[in-house]
Amino acid sequence: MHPVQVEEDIRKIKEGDRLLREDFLDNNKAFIHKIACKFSRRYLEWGRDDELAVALVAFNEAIDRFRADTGVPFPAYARIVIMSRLTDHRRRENRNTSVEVPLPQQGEESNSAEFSKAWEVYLLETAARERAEEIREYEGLLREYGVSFEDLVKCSPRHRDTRRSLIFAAAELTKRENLLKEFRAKKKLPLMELENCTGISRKTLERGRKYIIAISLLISRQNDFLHLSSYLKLPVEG
Amino acid sequence: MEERGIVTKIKGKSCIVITPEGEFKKVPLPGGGLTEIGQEITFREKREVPYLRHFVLAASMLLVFILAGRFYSSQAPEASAYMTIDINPSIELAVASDGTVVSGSGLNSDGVAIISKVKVKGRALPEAVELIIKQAITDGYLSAGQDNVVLATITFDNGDDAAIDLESVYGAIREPMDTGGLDAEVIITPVQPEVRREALKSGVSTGRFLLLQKSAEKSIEFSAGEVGTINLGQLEKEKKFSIIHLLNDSEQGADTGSTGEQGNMPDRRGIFVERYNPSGKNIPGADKKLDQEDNAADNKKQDKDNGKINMPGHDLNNGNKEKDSQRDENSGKSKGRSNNKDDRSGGDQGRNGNH
Repeated sequence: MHPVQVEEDIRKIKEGDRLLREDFLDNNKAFIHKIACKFSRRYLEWGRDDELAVALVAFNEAIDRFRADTGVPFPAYARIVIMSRLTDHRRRENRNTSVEVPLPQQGEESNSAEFSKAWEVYLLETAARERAEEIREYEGLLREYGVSFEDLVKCSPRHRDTRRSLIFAAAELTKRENLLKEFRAKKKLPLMELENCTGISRKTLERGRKYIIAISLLISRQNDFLHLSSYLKLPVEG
Repeated sequence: MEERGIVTKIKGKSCIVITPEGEFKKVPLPGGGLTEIGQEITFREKREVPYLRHFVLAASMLLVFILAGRFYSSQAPEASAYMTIDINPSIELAVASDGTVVSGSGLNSDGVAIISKVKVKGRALPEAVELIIKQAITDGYLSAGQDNVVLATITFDNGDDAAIDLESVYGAIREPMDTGGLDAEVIITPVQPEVRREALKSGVSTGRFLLLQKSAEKSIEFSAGEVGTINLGQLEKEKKFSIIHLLNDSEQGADTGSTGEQGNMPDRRGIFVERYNPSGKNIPGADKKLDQEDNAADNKKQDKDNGKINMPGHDLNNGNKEKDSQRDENSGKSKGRSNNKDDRSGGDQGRNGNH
């Protein structure tokens, strides 16, 4: 999901593009599925498990509720909505009366002012917490590859074109299953192959090694780093 | 340019952010409020910081040098010598080692007035001196009817006296007075840098400070105020002393014993002491005298031959005799001066005759 593209799509859907909405929902089923599975801590199947249906409805709701000005990227936003709805659903399933509903139901717009305010606070707090968690996770992941944020400050290419070509190299890497596998196994960049398939000089790749690692990890695990990867203007995952 | 970034790490007073452009940057923590990991902050674009810092450093050092250079060129080291001219106006000229005037400044109000009317900067010293003297004549500080005294001092900063040709300076002082038919006592004396420094401290010109010093030794009393402002010719008249005597005497005092009977004056190329008589005939003589001033007592006769009767300049040659004899001469000074005046009128006549 490319952030700019996503927001553009959502704008169109909100304007009433039904076909696009269908496509959008369809394309994001994997995303929804993953969140629901993670929430339920078991493998879910479409058509069998209620959670998936709840999640899909929640995702659809997220499209309508989404506002770009909150600063929370849509995937992260959608996840929060889905998780909230799944929580509601679980409470109902467990015969618990829903005492506190963090997210006002659609159609209950009568007293929405209060609700939406509370929701927004909840949303922002959750998003902030998620971002912090994400960053810590990302830091841990980088450490596995022997990369620290300090390293990245030092070797972050300052020139925009260099940075783009390194990001391009990282995208190429994640596109190729075999290379990605090798990369994950050895925790080392397959520089030679990258050189061949990107045409970027070995020297440049070498210099930007840590940066490519960092960006590759971000792209290849985009769904785990919703906030970060949306924040960055990264190319679409292959 | 304002930039945004998500804080990924906080360390002390700075943090690492990741920008939407995919850059990792170390930026100072924003002040005010708690910053947490995951928070989006805005910061100032500081991409060029490492280079900028060096550049700023280099630029500021350059600036310091330039400013220092300017400062010094107008006040100190670049100038290798200083010349003060005292009439009533006191003026100081800073002279570079190539003999050009670096700057000129008035040391009292009259001096300021004069220096504001002439452009001395960048001129050769004699040229500048001539301009100043001319201006002094125009403004009436030097005029035919009075006892004119021009006291010039030269301070060499590092004993480097090559920069200034004293004779040409002397010529430059005399030349305009000659054309104006003025009578003047012209004194040029070198002084030690310390004297100049002290003079600067006390706020009078080096020449006047020297006078003050010497007069104290000689127990001729005048106040610093008098020395600072009064016309030197007037001063001489009022106090009945000769600046020339005064200076000569102390020169001798300072160098006593360093020379034998022969080398009365220390080998200074500097002291030109003369009661200038504009009759014209003794100009060549004067020049000769300059060349020979170091020579011994024989000069006395020679000077007489050159027609410089009763010139206070004599004292120069006598200067290295014992002080006693000098004192005698001093006591006879006023008489000598009056004689001198007679001489001068005669000289004027002679000159008129010539024309």
